[in-house]
Amino acid sequence: MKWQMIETEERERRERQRIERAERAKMRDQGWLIDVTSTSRRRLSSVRQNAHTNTDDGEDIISSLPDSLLCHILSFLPIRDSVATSILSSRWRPLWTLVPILHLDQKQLIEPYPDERNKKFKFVDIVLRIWTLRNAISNPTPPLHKLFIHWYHYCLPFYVDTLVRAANLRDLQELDLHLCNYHPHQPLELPRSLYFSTTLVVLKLGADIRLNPPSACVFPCLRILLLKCVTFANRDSLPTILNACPVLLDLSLHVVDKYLNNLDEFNVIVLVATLKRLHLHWNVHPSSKYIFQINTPALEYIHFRGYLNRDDVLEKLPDVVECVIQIEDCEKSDDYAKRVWDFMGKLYNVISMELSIITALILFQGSNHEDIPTFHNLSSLKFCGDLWYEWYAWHVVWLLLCWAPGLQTLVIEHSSWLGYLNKRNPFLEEPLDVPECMLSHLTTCVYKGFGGYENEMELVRQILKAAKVLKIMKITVSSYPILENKPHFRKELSKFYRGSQNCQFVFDEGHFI
Amino acid sequence: MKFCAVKQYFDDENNNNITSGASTTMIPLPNVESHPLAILITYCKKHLKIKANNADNKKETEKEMEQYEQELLKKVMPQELTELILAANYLNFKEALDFFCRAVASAIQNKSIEFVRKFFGLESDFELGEEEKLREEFAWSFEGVDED
Repeated sequence: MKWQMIETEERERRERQRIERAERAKMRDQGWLIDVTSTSRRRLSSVRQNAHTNTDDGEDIISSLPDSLLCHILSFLPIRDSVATSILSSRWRPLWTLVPILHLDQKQLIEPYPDERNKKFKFVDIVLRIWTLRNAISNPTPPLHKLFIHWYHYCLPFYVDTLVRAANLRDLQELDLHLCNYHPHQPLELPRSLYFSTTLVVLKLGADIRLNPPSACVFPCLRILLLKCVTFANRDSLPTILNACPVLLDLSLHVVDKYLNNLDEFNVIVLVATLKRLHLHWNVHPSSKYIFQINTPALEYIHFRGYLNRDDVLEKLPDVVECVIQIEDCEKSDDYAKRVWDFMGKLYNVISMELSIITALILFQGSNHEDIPTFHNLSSLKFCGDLWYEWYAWHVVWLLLCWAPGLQTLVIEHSSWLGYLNKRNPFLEEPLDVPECMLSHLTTCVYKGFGGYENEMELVRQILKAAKVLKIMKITVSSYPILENKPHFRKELSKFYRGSQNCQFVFDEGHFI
Repeated sequence: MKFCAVKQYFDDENNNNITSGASTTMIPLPNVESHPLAILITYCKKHLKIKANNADNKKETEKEMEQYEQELLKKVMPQELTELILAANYLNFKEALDFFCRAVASAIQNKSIEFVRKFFGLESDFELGEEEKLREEFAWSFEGVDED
């Protein structure tokens, strides 16, 4: 009797499995709709479509995972969704509190952002509620490794101060605070104990925060430091912090002169032997008395944006392989162009470079003197910005190519749209010397932001003619304004004479941001 | 580093000097079913292949990988995801583990509690009064949730 029952059960189970497999196959064949409402969720929402097969038999698919893996899943959810899982069942109640990350972003938690005055739950209410629940549900309070608070509107720095003090510094590895204060004269001062943290690896501070590090300050584990538009207590504040970081790898500094008004003197001295990446946004006008001095021999990547003062110092950077340079123009200075060339000369070994068009124009102005460096290792060069800002900008790009004899890839990313494009550019008609890289090394050329104008067609024609070893010429259409009659342009462009036998022409009509 | 648990096994083998001249070694993986293992191996191979093809261009690698991942998810059932997560965790294959966990997270993001319960196949074990109380406490987290 028992044997028969077992047999029947077996048969039924096999039958069920067969049906399930058949259903699955059918679902696959029908193809899936893709949720187009958000690009980031688009690719993963197909999992939700598959969910319909589960809703019929209500099979528990998740409880076999241990708590640690459930927490790992929760760590990928925005805090609001993560907290909401507390209601799923009693097992799930404390799980969100065990995720050692608190990511509190006002933009994420308040919708529609930024108007929260009429909302029932304001950002401060939500933050306090989350914090209190986290401490109440799990006892003892689970460790917190990462604290992220971005509070842009109606910020109350006192609350942030309370939370940072309450976060146990023994466990904190990442701290990211961006605050925009309601009262602009009362920035948040960080608690003193933070400056002696032995566990902090990432520290990012922005806007209304005032740094006043004690001279004995030390960050033995800090690898990434970001200071964006913060205020400093005195001129030694920044050097004190930088000297306190023996293993610093990545530094981002965004300095704006109006936030330095309290200081007579402010020298940004970056003397960090371990630094590999530097991002300096120096929004300090050359006429001011503030200067920077950079001596980072191990640097591999530099992104510089801003003005160059006469006394700014940049030591040689032999290991820099990648750079992004966006130098702002300063008309009042006579030898500004030479200063910019000196700066560029320190990056002599660079392999990949991105230049703003304005930087290129400044370099062109100073290109008559003797000591122009040649970038022998430069293999990829990208020009970003408004190519038709000045009439002779394309001429400039062409000339700058002469200082990169081994260049293999040239990218021009044209961003804005100006009426100049409609008029024929007289500079394009001048015969120009062909840069050496065009004859021997240039294999890839990409033009992004094609709008169908005559000047652009002429530019492409000239490159195609001059580049003797070109393998790919790719043109990406600009997304705004929308280019009409794309097949016509594709045909016209592909007809141009190609100086290289093996040149492939690609016309990308896709969306370009 | 992919499949760290397996690499560990190889390292141990070499240390013990087991030389039998055999070109294939049998590695016991008692906690991994064959089906998820096959998917993980394909994922790993594809990842390495894409990386090799686009050695210089990080963006291209990411783009291609994303396309492949999207295709992969269309074929995978939610039940299989759990097995894949367990397998990737056992094998110490961080990229795959993160990817499948993110997939599950994305499936329940911005969804109502009822939907999530259905999706996971969970049943509430709260008493009626308790659940009401919790819903009140967490009311702010339900604002703006998707309709199913």
